[in-house]
Amino acid sequence: MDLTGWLLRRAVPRPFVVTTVGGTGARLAVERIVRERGWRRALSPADADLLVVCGPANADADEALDRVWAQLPGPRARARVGAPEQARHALDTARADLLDVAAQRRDADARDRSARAAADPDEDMPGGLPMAGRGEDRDGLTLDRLHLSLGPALPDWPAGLSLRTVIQGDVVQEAHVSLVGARDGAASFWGAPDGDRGGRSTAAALDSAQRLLSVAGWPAAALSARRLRDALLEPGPRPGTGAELRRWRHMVGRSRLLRWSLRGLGRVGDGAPEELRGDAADRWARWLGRIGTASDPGPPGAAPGGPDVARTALDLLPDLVVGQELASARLVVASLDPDTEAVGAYAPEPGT
Amino acid sequence: MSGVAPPWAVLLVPALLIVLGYGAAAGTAALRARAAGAAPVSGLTAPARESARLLVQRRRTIPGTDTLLWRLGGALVPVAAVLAALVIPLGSTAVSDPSVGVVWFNAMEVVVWAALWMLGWGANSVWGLVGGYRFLIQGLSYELPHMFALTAAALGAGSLRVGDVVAAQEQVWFAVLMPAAFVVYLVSALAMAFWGPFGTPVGRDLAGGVAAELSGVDLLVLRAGRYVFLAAVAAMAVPLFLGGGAGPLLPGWVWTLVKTAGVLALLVWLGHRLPAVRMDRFTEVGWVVLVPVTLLQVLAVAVYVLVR
Repeated sequence: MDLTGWLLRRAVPRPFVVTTVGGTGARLAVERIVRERGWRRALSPADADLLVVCGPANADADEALDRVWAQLPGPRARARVGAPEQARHALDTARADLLDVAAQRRDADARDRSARAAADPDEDMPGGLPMAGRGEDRDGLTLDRLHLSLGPALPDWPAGLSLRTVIQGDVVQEAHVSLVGARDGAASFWGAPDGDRGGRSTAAALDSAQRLLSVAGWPAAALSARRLRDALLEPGPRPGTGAELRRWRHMVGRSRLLRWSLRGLGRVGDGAPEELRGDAADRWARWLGRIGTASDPGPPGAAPGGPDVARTALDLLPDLVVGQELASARLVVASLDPDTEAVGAYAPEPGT
Repeated sequence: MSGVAPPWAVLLVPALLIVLGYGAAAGTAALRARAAGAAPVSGLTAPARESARLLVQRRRTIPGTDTLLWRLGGALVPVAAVLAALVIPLGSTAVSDPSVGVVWFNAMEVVVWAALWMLGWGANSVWGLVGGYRFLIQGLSYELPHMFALTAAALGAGSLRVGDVVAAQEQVWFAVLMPAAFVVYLVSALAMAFWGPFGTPVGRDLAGGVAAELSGVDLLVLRAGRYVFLAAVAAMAVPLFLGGGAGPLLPGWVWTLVKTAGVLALLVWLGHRLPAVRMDRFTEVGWVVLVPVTLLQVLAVAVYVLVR
């Protein structure tokens, strides 16, 4: 009896979903299918058996993605979803690859062989890796300086954003922003003309909100937000969505615990565009306001920020995360949620 | 009132904990399915299917790991849960009812500190390390209020023996007599099982935290161990605060299981309804609010015991 195949067929796949710049539409399609099939998104490559890449290929992102692919323990399969309409087929094919036990065994053997060949027995450093350097942290303690790259392949993270950090303890000491695979002339998914009674603007706010809720550790509310977002992007009438949206908004808007977590984080001064001003709690309240105005009958909500807002957010980012611990830094990024597709090619100004 | 069970009951403890833990996992999956817009019934098989996936998945080897600590850490979580549950009476009978049962439970629960730190440290990964730091801070924040909550129950009974604590609740449950201690116990139950709002050591923002590099059966043991541990801390609330096996009509062991399932369902529901608590902010609450509250609770119980 083939126990491996039997177990594999019963297992629910767990995809690690990565979005490249220009892949928001594809990501929405993938997330929708994942939700409808009752799959769950993986937290890390080690947890995953599918690597799903949403968006167009580009050389820089592919290099990072190959490293992620090497971290999937196996059995593993890979899918690229270039456009939303390919999502269903790509996921089906990847699932079939996953169930091909013979091919998975070959892949595992090949990896074991190359791992043995690469192993170098006489190394005096643990695992052949250099030790961490040390330096004084903000409190004057000498701690290891760990280099951690946040993105571009990270769950609930803006497409293509790469935040290279130096961390001591769990506090970010240095941060440098870059965009992987961004190019001029790319169109923002959310910036597309809105002919749909404010539905798209609300969906954009819901997408930002679900990302923040995921990072803030409220997966159930994030899941509901994704469901409502998908319903709003559906063409045609949406019976019942308005009432559900109001219920969801009431539930998350009432959460003092969430506001308490967000308050005081990533404070942006009055010189910045209006969408970014205040702290993370203020930005969260503004999203909820945008969702609120659109769930009630009335004029469509304000359009989401354009390229200038996203560019300002990226410029502000390093200063806002330095000195914060990792949890806060991730909440700051999620609360700004820069629309990286709107920016075009991005190079930080020298000195930042 | 309390008795000691026959030796084979040692096997019953893990079996019951696994059943309760599976129930908690299935309940979580059902709530998730409802939020996703699917039928909640699909949640019932979700933990089994997830286990099937992890059984097939290969274990990872990564350079620079402290293999012993890394592999051992996850396995310690279910072991600690079973050891802690040995002193919990089912009805009126526990596997063991030592004179320091409450302290034994507390000690086993602290083993999880070591377990998560070993996991985080052993993986040679920044995510794991930061997850480990988070759990240590979490431990420092919840442990003192938690110990004072346990102290309040032990003081009310005048004994550290779990059987005596149950016997002392014949007139009135300690949940009624010392509500603050009960609430603090529930909060610390979530925190020690790194569950729900206190799940940041394995949080999504850390790509899984201490579990970020785990795969396959190692991950299965940790995730299942967490549910088993959650079941154990829920079960301990019953003898400490909810009168143990006391109840009308039904036999004691049924009441123990019913009450345990109730507490467990409450913890699962809280995990569903609440966002994560940021540990740097909770530390302040733990020390500035919860420690004084539990100390006042202990004082009130002490006065009650004296004038009773």
